[in-house]
This record gives sequence, C-alpha cells and structure tokens, in this order.
Amino acid sequence: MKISSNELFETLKKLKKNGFVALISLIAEDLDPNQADDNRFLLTYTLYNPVNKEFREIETYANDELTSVSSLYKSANYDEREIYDLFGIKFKNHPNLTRIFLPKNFEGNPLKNDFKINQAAHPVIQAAEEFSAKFEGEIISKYTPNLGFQHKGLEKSAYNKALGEYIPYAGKIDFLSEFFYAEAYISAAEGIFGIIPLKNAQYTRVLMMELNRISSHLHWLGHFAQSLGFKSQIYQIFSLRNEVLNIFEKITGSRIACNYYVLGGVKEKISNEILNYILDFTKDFNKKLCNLTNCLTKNSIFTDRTKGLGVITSEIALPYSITGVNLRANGLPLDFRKEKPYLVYNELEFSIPTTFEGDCYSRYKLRTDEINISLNLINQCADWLLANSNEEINLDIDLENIKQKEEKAISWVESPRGLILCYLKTDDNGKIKRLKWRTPSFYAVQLLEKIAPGCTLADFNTLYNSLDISLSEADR
Amino acid sequence: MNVIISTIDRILNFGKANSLQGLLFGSSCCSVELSQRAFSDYDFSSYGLEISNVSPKEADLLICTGVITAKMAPKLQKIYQQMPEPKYIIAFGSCAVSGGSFYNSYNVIQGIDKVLPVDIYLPGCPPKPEELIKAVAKLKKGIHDSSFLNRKEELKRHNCIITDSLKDANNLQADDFEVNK
Repeated sequence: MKISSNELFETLKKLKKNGFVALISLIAEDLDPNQADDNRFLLTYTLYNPVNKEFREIETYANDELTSVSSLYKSANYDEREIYDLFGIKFKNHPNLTRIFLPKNFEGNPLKNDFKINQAAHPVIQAAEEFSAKFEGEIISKYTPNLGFQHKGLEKSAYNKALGEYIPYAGKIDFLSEFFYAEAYISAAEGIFGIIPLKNAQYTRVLMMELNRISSHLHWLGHFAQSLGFKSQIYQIFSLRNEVLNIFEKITGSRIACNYYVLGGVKEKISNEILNYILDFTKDFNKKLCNLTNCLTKNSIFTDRTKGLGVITSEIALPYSITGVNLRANGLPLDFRKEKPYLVYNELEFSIPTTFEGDCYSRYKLRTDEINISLNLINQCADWLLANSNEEINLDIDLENIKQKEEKAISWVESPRGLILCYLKTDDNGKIKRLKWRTPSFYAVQLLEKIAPGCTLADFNTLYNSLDISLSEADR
Repeated sequence: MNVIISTIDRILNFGKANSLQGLLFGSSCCSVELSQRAFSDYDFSSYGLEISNVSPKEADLLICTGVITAKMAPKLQKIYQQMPEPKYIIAFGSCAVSGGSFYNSYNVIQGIDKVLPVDIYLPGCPPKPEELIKAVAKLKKGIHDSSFLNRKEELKRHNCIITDSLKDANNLQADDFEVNK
C-alpha cells in the first residue's frame, strides 16, 4: 500500500487503533541519486497484529524530511536514528535525533549511493562517551547505551556485488548464530531466482540450524551462570558445547566460519556414519545437561536473585518490537517457525513452550526447554535422512544462464534471539542494490533503556545477560 | 662492563619471559574460539599464560582479537597506556593483522599496527590454538634476545605514535599519524 508522506502519521494512528500494535521493521532504500523530484528514498513499514496474526506493509517516498512515528511505536526511535545516520533523512518531533553507529564527527552518510569510500577509516576520529548511567545511591535512574563499536558496514559492502559473492559475509554478522543468517540470505537469493531446493537439502539445513541453536543457548547459559557467581559451571558447559562444534567440524570442515550453504542446496551430503554419531550424541545429552542445570534450579541463591527481576510484559514488549524468548516468557506463543513456516517446519512435530511470569528465571527456564525441543527436531530430521539416504541433494543450476524472476525478496527466520528479516533487492544485471538486515538484538538494547531504571547495580549484570544480547548482531 | 649488562639482561629476561600474564581483548568471532578452546582441551597455564579477566594494571601481554572499528581505537589505546612496562602485544586473527575480509569498509581500521606497536602477527580465520602456543614461544625467544637498554629504540621502529601519558593520547591530531616522521 503506497501513501504520500503527508498522510503517514494518520494512517499509522488509525492502524494502531485497529490492533496493529508492533512495528516489526523499517527499511529505507536509495532509489536514484540523480532524481530530480521528491522521490529519492523509499521507506517500508511492516506492522503486525497479534490478535488476528496479520502483517501489513506500507510504503512512502521521502526526500529529506519526514514526520517521526516514535510517539506511536517505540521501536521506531532506534530505527529512525539509524536511517538518519546512514541516509541523512531528518525526522520531525524525534526525541533524540543523533548518530547511533558512526562517531559524532563523521562526515557524510555512507549508505547513499553516491558516497565513495576514499580511504579506510582513520583511527584518530575521536568517539563520544560510552554508555552512561545515572545513579541515586545504588539504584539506576537513567541508562543510555552506546552502539557502534562493532559496526563493520556489512550492508554497504553488498552494494554492486553478485549474489553469490556475499554468502561468506552473511555468516560474519553474528558468530554465534551463523547458520541462521546464512539461511536468511540464501532463501532470499533463491526467492529472486525462483529456485526451491530439494527435500533432502531442506532437512539438512534444518538439522544444522537446530544444532546451532543448541550451541548458541549453551554459550548463553555459561555466561549467565558466570555472571551470577557460579564460576565452575562454565567450564563444563563449554566442554559440552565443544562436542557440538566437533560435529560441525566433521560435516563441514571448520568449527566457526562454516559456509556450508550454496544456492540450491548444501555443499556436501551428510554421510550415514555421521548421522548415527549425531543420534548417539542426542541420547546422552539430556542427562548431562540436567546434571548442570539442577545445580542452578535447586539453588536458592539462584532462584532468589532471578525471580521477580526484569519483568517484561507484552504491553511493553510489542511496541518495542521484541520477538523470541523475551516475548514468549510472558505467555504470548509467537514463534515464526509456526507463523510463517519455511523449509520443512510444517512437516515436523514440535510445540512452543511459554511461561507466564516474564522475569529472568522464566527466560532461563524457556531457553533450557528450547534445547530439548531442538534435540527432538534433530532426531526427527536424522531419522528422515537415514531413511531416504539414496536421493540426490543438490539441484543442477546453470549459474551463467539463470534469469531473475523477481526484483525483491524478503525472508523470515527464527533465530535463538528473535526474528531475523532479510530484505534483498537487485537490479537488471543481477547485482545487489540494497540489502537490509533486521536483527533482534538491536531492539533488545533499546528495551534496556526502559527496564534498567529501578534496578540496583548488583542486579544489572544479571538483567543484561538474561536478554541474550549480541552486540555484533546489533551493530552489523 | 658488557659482562655486567649481559648478566643483568639474562636475569631480567628470565623473569619477563616465563611469567607472562595475558589480557584478552576480544571483540568478535576470534575471541569466542580462543576462549572455547582454552577452557576445554588445551592447558595454557602450563606455559605460564593464564587467560583470565585480569585488569590491565596487572598484565604484560595483550592479545588483541577481532575487528577494530574507528570508535573502538581510542579505547584500545587507553587500555594499552594503562599497562605497566614491560609489555608485549600479539595481533590475533587476520582482522587484527590487516583488516581481514572487511577491506572496503568505511569503519574498519586495516590492522592494529596503525594504532599500537605490535610484536607478533598471527594470521588465520580463526587461528588454531596450537598456533597461539607457537606464537608465545617465538615471543619468548625474542624476549631472551633483547636488552633492557634498547627498549625505546625498539618502539621507534613501529609506524605508530606512542605517547608518554594519557593526556597526550587524547590530543592526537591527524598529522601525527604520518609515516616516516
């Protein structure tokens, strides 16, 4: 639905009254630097209604100025700051319109198409202060985070590259959930070409993603326990995680930067030996994990410190566009593996656990429950792959003569931290014009501004760790 | 006279080389791989190198991993200034050595040696932990070969500016970073 920029605020106000409470993403794009009239930038707003489970997209054109919608949707605060930083569009009535990623005396807006990179970054550009927190006694009264310390410019580096060239970069956005970002990029690229991978490849991709979910949650668990003072759990949890990374090494050859996905399938088939090894691994895993988590759940110091801390209700979470475990901890079972099923998730059997309190303890409990659900999914995928091991895995694609069927594609993936959205647009020659990542940690950092006041200094570390924030994902 | 200096050197270098205490400054994928391996399979403390959360005032080896952006570089210099002499640096991973795969980015510094004087370069994406042990062994050899009188001349050979105090580090200008000054 396209509207003009004068009607933007009122249509969004009406939609919010009708139940579209969450602004999932705000995407800006530079169409043509040489355009004479007022239609240089195109902005896309995606809204969500949790009662009807409905999504809606609204598009406007803009040149230099727009009205801000941050009074209606709180998550638009950081989105509009990012657009002001990277594109130069100004928003009226914004509470704090300053740069968010780049240093304050940086000149220029990098994502405009006529910004040329003359030299690499100069190290003498001085940065402003870090995050600041105001205290009254022991209690925080105001907290402002500072992002941009890991901003590598991964969206600009996709400009004018071929679709296959960018695949290794997609895994560098977040080192803990690499297979999810690779899947989001590959399925967007396949959507442009109109390719659907074979069933064998789809089951393999789901298997790798669920293994990655386990390793990411274990990393979180180790650091969460360490922040509360349990310094011996982290050694054993990381040795469990080491076994998962050894499985990655058997299949792909490397532990972290795997690059296993290819347009139309995966690089190599998983052999039957490795599948049997995975099935043996999942049998003992639950016992070993229970030994470690029982030390925490049956410990009164742990429960007293985490229960009742950092409650996130869905009235707070949905305007800040929070998804994933942080939202499900308060009773709303929103999981994008069931809302918008991708790959073979509509053929697998799994349930979505929820809790009702919404504090740090329930988030801890949910993440350990999710590990068990992932183990179940891994067993189902490995059984299917063993039963159908004689089929082919990759399509025969002629990469030189393939033609694009569509101009843009969007893919939705549920990662351990929330919802990932990949927006991909190409031009007629097949080069990328705009690539935008919607990452979940970006919004979780903004939520901290709201929750941290009222918390003591000793509890702040626990609260920060319970949200599972990954800063390299927030900065891209 | 030279005999006295060389025996003093031998005693001092013996102490410096065999008791390195490391400070891990990790900001990206390499740090996860390093800490993951250090916990489970390999025993770094037998080499005298305990990678733990030591503050910069008690460390003498800075292992710098990960991508360094323009916003992070002044913080890195402040950490380096807080470490007491003698201090050594290992650049771990190809992003720290020369910018890595982010060669055309507007915000990534192409290597730590534009900001700090690096002693050992260790490329890899990420490097294996056995290579870290080899790098520490090479560093120890280099420490045994050095003398305490030559420390300032060694620092001048690097292409970066070392200031004497924290106040000077905050007042650096763009002209100070020219090569061959």
